Amino acid sequence: MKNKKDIEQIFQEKLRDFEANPPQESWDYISEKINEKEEKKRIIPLFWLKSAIVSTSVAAVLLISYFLFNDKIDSNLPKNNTEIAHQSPEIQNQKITENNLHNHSKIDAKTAEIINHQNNITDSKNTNFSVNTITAESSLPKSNTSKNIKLTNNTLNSVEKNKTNLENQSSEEKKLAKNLQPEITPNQKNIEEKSPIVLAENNLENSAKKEQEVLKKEENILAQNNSEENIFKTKLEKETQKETQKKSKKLSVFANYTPLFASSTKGSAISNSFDNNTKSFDDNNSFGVGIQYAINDKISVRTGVNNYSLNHKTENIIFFKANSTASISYNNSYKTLSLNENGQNMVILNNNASFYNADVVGSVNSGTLNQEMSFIEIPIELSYNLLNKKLKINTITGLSSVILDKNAVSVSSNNTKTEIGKSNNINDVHFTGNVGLGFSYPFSKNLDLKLEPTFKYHFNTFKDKQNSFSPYFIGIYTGFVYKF
Amino acid sequence: MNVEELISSCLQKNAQSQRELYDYLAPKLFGACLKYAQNQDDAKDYFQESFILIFKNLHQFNFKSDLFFWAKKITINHCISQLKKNKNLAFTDLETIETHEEINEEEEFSIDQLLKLVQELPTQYKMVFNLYVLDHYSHREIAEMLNISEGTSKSNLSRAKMILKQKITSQQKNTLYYHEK
Repeated sequence: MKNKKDIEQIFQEKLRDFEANPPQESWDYISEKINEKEEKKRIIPLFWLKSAIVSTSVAAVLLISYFLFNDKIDSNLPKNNTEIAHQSPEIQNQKITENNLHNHSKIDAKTAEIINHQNNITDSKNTNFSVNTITAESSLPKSNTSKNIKLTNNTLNSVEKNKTNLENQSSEEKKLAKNLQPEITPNQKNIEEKSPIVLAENNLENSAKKEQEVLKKEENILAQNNSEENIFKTKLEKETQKETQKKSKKLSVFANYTPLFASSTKGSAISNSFDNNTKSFDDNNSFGVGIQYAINDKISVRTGVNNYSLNHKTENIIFFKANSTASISYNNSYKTLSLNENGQNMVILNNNASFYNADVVGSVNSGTLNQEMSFIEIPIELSYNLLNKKLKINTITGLSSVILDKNAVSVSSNNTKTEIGKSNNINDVHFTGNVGLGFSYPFSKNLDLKLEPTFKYHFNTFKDKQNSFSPYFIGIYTGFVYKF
Repeated sequence: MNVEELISSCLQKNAQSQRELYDYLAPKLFGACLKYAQNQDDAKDYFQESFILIFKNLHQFNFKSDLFFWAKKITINHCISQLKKNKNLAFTDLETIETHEEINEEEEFSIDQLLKLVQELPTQYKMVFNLYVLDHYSHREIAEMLNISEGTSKSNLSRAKMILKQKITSQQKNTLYYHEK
């Protein structure tokens, strides 16, 4: 006889209390996972420590190499200048000595002594031109001419004094006159033919006059050179001042206060069941300090430390205390929340979700679920100058390492807030991508006022990879920049 | 060692106690996972993940209910949440048809045969059938767990039962055919 059996009954009989042995390896996996908590805690700071060390050392190497490179260029410049300054008198002296040797090789020892003496004097004058090499060189032929004439004059004086050796002297005069021939006019040549003494006297007078004229000219040139030199010196000083000013203004520090206007991608950081609830951020702000270094007129790098908070509200929720077993079956959120004593057996539901009154311990409240997070941010940013006038405009791009600081979850209803624990799915370190536009305006000589609307998008904020929820914000970074 | 001592010892990360608790619960919970999963591999994943959840939430157990009951709830919840991730999940929202599916029990079905039939059910029907028939959840509870209406829960249950009946009947016919041959 055929027995009619309900299908439910067939399955219940065999499968209701059905037991089966799990695979052997399951226990190894489970025991490893449930006892790995401490190791995990160690891994995160290590990762952070490593990345911090790497980024700091890269930044340090870049800065140091840049400073070293800069120093080389700077130290090369004055060195070359001093070399030129040192070399030029020598070169000039050599030139002068060569000229003198050529002109006066036939003059006797006494004259040579005078020449040397004169050279020394002239040399000391020439050193005055050392700074402005070109000017000094251009004045060389003139001063040489004057020197030659001076020599002649001195020689003639000695002729006058030694009248007893007149003949010998006159022969010397002849030789000297021959040497001077290219510089003497045809009229003087005629005089020379008449008498050596007259010639000598005439020469003496002419030479004296010439000498005076040349001396005047020389003085003028000297004065001119001096004034040119002074102008050059002052120019040089001004330029060095400017350079030092420019150089020093490459480094600046800044402080900013930032109101944040935050929002997020769709979804919920706490539970999928709140995906469609209204969410908002409030009372969010940031403050921080930083340091900026201008690599050149266009590009600057900067870093710093900011502290900011993001208070994320999930609205339209109900919450109540339930008995412990019921709370687990109700609440998927226990996976992302580590509840404290207040939060034990707390059931948080979407306000249109149904529940059993029998499970409720106490009363059912409606309100908001608040996720309070604060972070320490270390940005590394590059700013590119678009407008470099009184008002400066620049673009800002960069990345920030974000370290979780405060992490608290609370429920609030009718102005009563109860902290129920914290989120356990926020990564200790995550990142933001930063894009912004900066405006700065000089407030005083060293102080600029800055305003930088910047968009920052959070990456990898939550451990749960299926959770695509990501906060982002626009911060109006407002503050002062002090330039050294 | 009573349950209380066992749990407090587990909370202190005592490896031996952890193993003891595992040995006590594992066959029951793996059995539950096999019913909800599509195959052995999925069941193993659900089982392991559920067990980790149980250990990590052990401090929440308040000794008022049975430990197995509490652990099974966590396991079932986890299986459901994993199955809900299936993007092709579509619950049939038909008018509730109260059916009373009966079959002629001509031969005994093995556990493996029945388990295979359950595993092969479309996910949405399998969840409702398992929760209602094998784990004694009410339609209201199921509706809440699966975010569906009670009506949908009922209609999906009757659809599940119809599928199972068809499969069993066709298997019986095949067996009969082979017998006659």
